[in-house]
Amino acid sequence: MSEVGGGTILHVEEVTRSFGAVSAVDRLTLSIETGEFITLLGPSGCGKTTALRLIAGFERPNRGVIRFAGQDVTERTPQQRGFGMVFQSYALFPHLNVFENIAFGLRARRLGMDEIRKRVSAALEIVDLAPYADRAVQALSGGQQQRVALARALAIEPPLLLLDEPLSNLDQALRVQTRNDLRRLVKELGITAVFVTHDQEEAFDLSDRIAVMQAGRIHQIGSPRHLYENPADRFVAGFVGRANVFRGRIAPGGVRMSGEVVWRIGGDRPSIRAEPGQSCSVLVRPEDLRFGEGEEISETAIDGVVRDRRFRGGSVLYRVETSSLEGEPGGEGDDSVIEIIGSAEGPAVGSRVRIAPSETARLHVFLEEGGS
Amino acid sequence: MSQGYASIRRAWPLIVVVGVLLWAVLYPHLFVLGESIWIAGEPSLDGYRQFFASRAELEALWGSLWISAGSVLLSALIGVPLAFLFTRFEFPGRALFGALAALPVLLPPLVGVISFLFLYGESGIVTRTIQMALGLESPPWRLVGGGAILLVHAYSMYVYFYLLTAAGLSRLDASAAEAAESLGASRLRIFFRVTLPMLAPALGAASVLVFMTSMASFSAPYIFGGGFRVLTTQIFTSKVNGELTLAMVETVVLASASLLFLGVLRRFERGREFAAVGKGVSAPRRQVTSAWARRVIPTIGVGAVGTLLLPHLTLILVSFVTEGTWTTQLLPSEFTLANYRELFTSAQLWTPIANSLQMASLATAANLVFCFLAAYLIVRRRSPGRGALVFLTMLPWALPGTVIAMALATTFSVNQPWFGRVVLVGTFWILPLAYFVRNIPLVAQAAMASFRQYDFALEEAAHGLGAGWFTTMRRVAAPLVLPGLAAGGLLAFVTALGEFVSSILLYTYRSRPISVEILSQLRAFDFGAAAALGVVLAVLMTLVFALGGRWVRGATLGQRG
Repeated sequence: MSEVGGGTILHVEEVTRSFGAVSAVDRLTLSIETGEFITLLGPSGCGKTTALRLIAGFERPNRGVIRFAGQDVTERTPQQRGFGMVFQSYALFPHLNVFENIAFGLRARRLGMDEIRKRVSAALEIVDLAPYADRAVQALSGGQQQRVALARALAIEPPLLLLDEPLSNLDQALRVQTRNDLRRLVKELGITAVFVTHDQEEAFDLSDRIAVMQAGRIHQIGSPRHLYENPADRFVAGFVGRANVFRGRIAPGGVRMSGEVVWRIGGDRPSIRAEPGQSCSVLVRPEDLRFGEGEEISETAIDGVVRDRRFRGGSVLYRVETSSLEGEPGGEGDDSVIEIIGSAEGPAVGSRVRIAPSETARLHVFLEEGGS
Repeated sequence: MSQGYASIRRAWPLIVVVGVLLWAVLYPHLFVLGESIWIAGEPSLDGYRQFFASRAELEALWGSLWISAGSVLLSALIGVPLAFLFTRFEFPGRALFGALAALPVLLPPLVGVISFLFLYGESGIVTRTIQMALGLESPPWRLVGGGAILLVHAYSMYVYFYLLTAAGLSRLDASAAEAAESLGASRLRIFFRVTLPMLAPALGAASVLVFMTSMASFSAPYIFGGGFRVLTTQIFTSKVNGELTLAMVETVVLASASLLFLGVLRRFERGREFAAVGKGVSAPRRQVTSAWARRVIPTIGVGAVGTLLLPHLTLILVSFVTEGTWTTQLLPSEFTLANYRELFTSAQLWTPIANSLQMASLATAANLVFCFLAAYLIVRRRSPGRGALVFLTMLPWALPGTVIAMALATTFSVNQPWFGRVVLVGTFWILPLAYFVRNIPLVAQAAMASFRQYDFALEEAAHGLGAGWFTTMRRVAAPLVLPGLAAGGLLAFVTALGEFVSSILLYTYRSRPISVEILSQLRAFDFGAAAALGVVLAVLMTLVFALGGRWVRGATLGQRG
């Protein structure tokens, strides 16, 4: 594989971890730069947590190597690796108060009491819990417990911070706020972090780069924008962002959606090497569609009826039922419904409408075998 | 008028429950207290003076205390490592032997004690084996005194530590240990700073159970004590010798010591209840991989369980021995089913079985009705003063069986209806009453647990759907609450069936229960019959557990003797 670059601090190389016959992580390769916030994103059971536990040292790979700062750490215990970890359950020690929870790792390192006090105060300051040092952890709210868990991991000044769905036990409003705090904190402190989540919005908000995982493998890795605009395959396209997925057939200059309607692929994607007539999946983002008026789009438009409007602040998400497109299982929602982002002044529920891709739209086309 | 009637109708369960608790639970114990300071019609502290001046009495008090403390320590030393072994490691046979290790909880205390006798007694199998192997003139040990009691206690009470530690371990959030590991803590540090402190509530609860069980223990000191004095046997001796004032004083001292230590231990325990913070997952069992550990760990586990179950296996073996054939041989040689057949054919053996069945049924029926009402009042109606109700229903749990028996024997020996006293001693009725009182906590706990799990909104939903009170009870409340209550009742039934501690103080020959008969068969050296009776009790207990285990697991940890 590639040479370890100047900025690369963690390098996971062809790592496999199987439980019985099941490969939870399958030939995983991943490099992380110093100061980078990287997210492992995927549905539950995709192996993202196992990948994180492999990095932490709680699991040993069956094959492959993990290097940290140039050294092979594959056989090292979590204790020897010394990465900070925040657990989904927080794993706060119920018999210790807030101060002692945060001091735990420092005591294990046999630091002096003055140093411990200083570092615990600093950690509490960072997560905004300074007045809570003497509280019992059970007496804290979920959000506060989460911050104690974070402070505990940060207090040991870990060279790498691992976060296993740390926000999933918080309610929606708190989750968004904690997310923002976490992002700010990690960037301020310049921490290198690996974050695990199944929540795409969370991943987009926090990450420099996202690794989309499924069935133990990374499908694609890149910046949120890159993933959204250039999904490598159907899975990534469907998992990252809202998407309409339909069946079509390759036609000269585009994809035949139904009858005589051909949609241009658009964007700056390289042309698809495929025989005309070959069947494929077509993925269109809701914001890449528009309601057509008059003759201008008649060739590319399909007919439908507005079933539903959902107010989204600056825009409205329309759900339009159509009989002229063939939906695909695995696409979001009803397979005969197409989602469109439009303005609040758009058509009313029950109106007959015509839909077409916008001028700048890009279609993501994936041939039946999964490639594109 | 109708309002008054309605409030009486509403109040009757409270009147019944309070009345029974005052009359059968509180009054007799206050009566004992009164008797201990009321000599020949005058208030006097002579009894206490006599007690605290007597070397033998103080020895007994001290004996009870140190035996209890020692039992806690020894039981913990056996039970805690076993729990770790069977919950933290994965090896072939783990599930089976892990379950077997919990079996002694199914044995009525007396039965456990006599099976011990068959194995380690002067003519027990192990004792003889060693004697013959070493060519000794006399048995290598005599199973008497404090050491013997301690050994028997540890052997039978480790189960409390085993079960509670195992439960605690499986509730423990595994990520706490992982968090400690990632924070740089060593294995040893994790064990002492994380795992053990988090297990403290379980260990505390087990300590309380073992201490209280041991304070109340009668069978082991009675059979193995020899000259060793503890309070329970001392009370028995005083009563048999007719020294009633002294017996009263001893009873009060035993009750006070038990309640005092319960209070102290509970206070220590309080505030250490760790509800899991956030949701967690329990630790996966570690697959034993290294070659030596793969041999050693299962060997230790299986070996320990084997040793711990040996007495019970011996009991089964002895129950098949032909009467009079096992005298000097190492192992019995002639086996028969006659012992079991005789249980049903010989009047001598069948009478106690019939007695126990009858008395246990009566007591249990009363327990069911009473505890249903009590639990209903405490949980559902949240009656005023329910703190006092809970205290009184749980009081018999904290009091040794010997104390309860003495209280009943004293209170119900005279006919003074105006003072709530009637003659029950010497009649059939005294034992069912004793069983009833002793089992109130057990059944009440099961009933309260079922009522707590029962969502009362269901009743409202049923009413809202048009169901009347009776339909609601029949279709909604009963099906949901009864299984727990029934399981509690079943457990109370088998406990009463094997009850020994109160029975030995209160029985009459005609109404003698199974346990007393076991003892007299033992005295007559008919080991086979004694063992067969013991096996029957153990089997009944096992059946009850298989039927209603999930309802009564917590409650069982309260039975003792």
